[in-house]
Amino acid sequence: MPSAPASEPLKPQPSAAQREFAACHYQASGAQQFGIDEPALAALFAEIVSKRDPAGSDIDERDFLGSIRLEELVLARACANGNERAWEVFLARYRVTLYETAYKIAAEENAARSLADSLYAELYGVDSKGQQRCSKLLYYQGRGSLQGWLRTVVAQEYVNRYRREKRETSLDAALEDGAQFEAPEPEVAVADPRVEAAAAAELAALDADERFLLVSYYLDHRTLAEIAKLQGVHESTISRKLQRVAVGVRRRIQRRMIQSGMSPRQAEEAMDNVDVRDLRVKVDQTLRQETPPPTFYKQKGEPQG
Amino acid sequence: MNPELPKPMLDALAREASPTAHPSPDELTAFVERSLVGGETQKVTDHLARCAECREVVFLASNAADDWVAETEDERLVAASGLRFSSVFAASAASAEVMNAPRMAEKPSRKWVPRLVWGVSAAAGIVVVAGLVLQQRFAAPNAAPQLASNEARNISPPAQAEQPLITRQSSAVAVAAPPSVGKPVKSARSKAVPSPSRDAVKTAAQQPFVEMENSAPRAAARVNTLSDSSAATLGGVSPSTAPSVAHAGALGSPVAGAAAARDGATGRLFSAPQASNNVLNTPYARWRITAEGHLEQSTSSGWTRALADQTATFRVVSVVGSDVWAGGDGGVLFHSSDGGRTWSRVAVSSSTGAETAAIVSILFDDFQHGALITESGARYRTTDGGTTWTSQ
Repeated sequence: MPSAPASEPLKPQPSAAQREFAACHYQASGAQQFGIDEPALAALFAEIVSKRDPAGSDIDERDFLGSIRLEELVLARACANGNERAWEVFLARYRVTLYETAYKIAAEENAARSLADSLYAELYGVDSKGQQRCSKLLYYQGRGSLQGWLRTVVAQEYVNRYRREKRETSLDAALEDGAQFEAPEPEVAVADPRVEAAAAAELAALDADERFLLVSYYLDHRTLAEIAKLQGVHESTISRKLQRVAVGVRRRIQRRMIQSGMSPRQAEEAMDNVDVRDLRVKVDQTLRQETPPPTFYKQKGEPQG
Repeated sequence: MNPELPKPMLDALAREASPTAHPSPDELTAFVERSLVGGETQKVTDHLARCAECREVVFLASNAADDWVAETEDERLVAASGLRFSSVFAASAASAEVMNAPRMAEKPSRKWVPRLVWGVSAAAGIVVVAGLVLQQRFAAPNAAPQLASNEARNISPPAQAEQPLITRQSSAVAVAAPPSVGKPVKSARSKAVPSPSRDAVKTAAQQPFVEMENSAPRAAARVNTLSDSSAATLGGVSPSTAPSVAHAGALGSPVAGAAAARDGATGRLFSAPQASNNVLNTPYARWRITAEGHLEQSTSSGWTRALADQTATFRVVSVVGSDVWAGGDGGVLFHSSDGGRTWSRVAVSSSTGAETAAIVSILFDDFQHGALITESGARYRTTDGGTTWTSQ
């Protein structure tokens, strides 16, 4: 997750193009009414460009700047600077979104309120002593809508909170809640290492979209509708694509196994002769993908890497 | 039913760990909104395919935005046929929602998302039916059914609409959200719209913001791309005279509804999102300023010029419910309180005389409180719905 900016890093100086862009869009951005002058806007552009992902550097800088949500960025930065007018606007626009998103994610009113309140405090950004302001809104870079960013941040906070609370649950409390602690199932050994090797090789050859589709559906058990919504296509499209990818991968794995010396029958059996109980995907296997924390909040205060 | 993956494949999938750093919330948001540029999409997708935590976040955020209607393939089909009926239906739903002051602690209901699961043939059939219905509706806009529809949306009938808004006194309830964190307003859907009062509409006017922004997520507050650094001028409009982009949010609030303006640098148009774009002379119509400085309104047959008898060059248009404000060169300011049916000229003056500088920004926090900015930087405020403007 993103790291917090360093306490006072050396700020990049705006280029001539960035200054020109700032001059061109200063009035449109609404920065003036929030007390952000033109040089400050140019400096903001320079900061965002400097944090730009190298993967997107094939896009012209001007196009990149043109793609950011300028007004929302200015509003967020003004809020982070403590501008009261900006906060009025922010609350009028996003307060409902914040709480509604929290409610939708937490699905329980008290938890949602707690989630939104804590996030609001972080957005407001005053420390426990009320002296130093370090608003989370500083992290907003205008790449997506501010509303969408708030949703993402709420979701992150919810995931972090869930993991934290889960870690802190005592054994007694878990037992009181009726949790059952079953013995871990022994790992089902793959009969032939060639199967594992073939599967790994073929999955590695998939492109990112296809892999994302497979893990979302088969590991995370996301519904077709959820995946379709995220990708902006109809769920029937996702279903067809899923079918094509799964069948294709399976066929290629079989072919690879045959090439590695298995008979067609053996390859078929290796793929098909799977106990239904083995198809259950355990949560720990899914979570094993995770790179360990630090997450968004843990890195607070650390310099950006 | 999709095929089940064999255990070896599932295990191999689960073993893949992401070697890259987590994308920022900005990047994840842009991924959800499909606004990543260049190779970023590939990079984020690749990370998501290997990182369960980020996938969880992305799906949570995506699912939370259930009022956001992605343009599905079926919708694109419909759009290609020239009818965006989903927008019309969405507008109806939105208007029904805003008319019914949402309760605060109610569990948010899922908004209706048009999903045509029957494939292209069903979509084509619906398009034909919708087209016929819309054609009949727009054939006689002043006919009784249309008026009935307008009444349902609390639009003043034409006789009342003849009265200029300027004479309207401030009886409306100020609806700007207080700068305190209170209980969230939850969307609530109700089918019945029993002749709502104007105040109810005003109070509810802040609600459609989420839906409006989401219906066109990149329309309102973005700066258009300048393809050429030398494109700072176009059509004789210098950067210094470039009018403002829509100020529905930054200078005002979501209550301001929507605004549109012309980008003087590129001549491209900015249109703030609206709840509907097919309804003639309703508060949900879309507005824009053309590169020539003309004020235009969307109709069922395309864009229609408004205030065509005026020679003024318009710079900015702002919409607050059924109130439309249009400003332009020479300090001209026009106002319509009935969604563009009737207009009245509003004088903007200070102690030094009438304002002559071009109006480049208009923003309303609510129906009563608004501000405008001229090209010279002068600011005017109104607290009575535009009856009087006070220089700041």
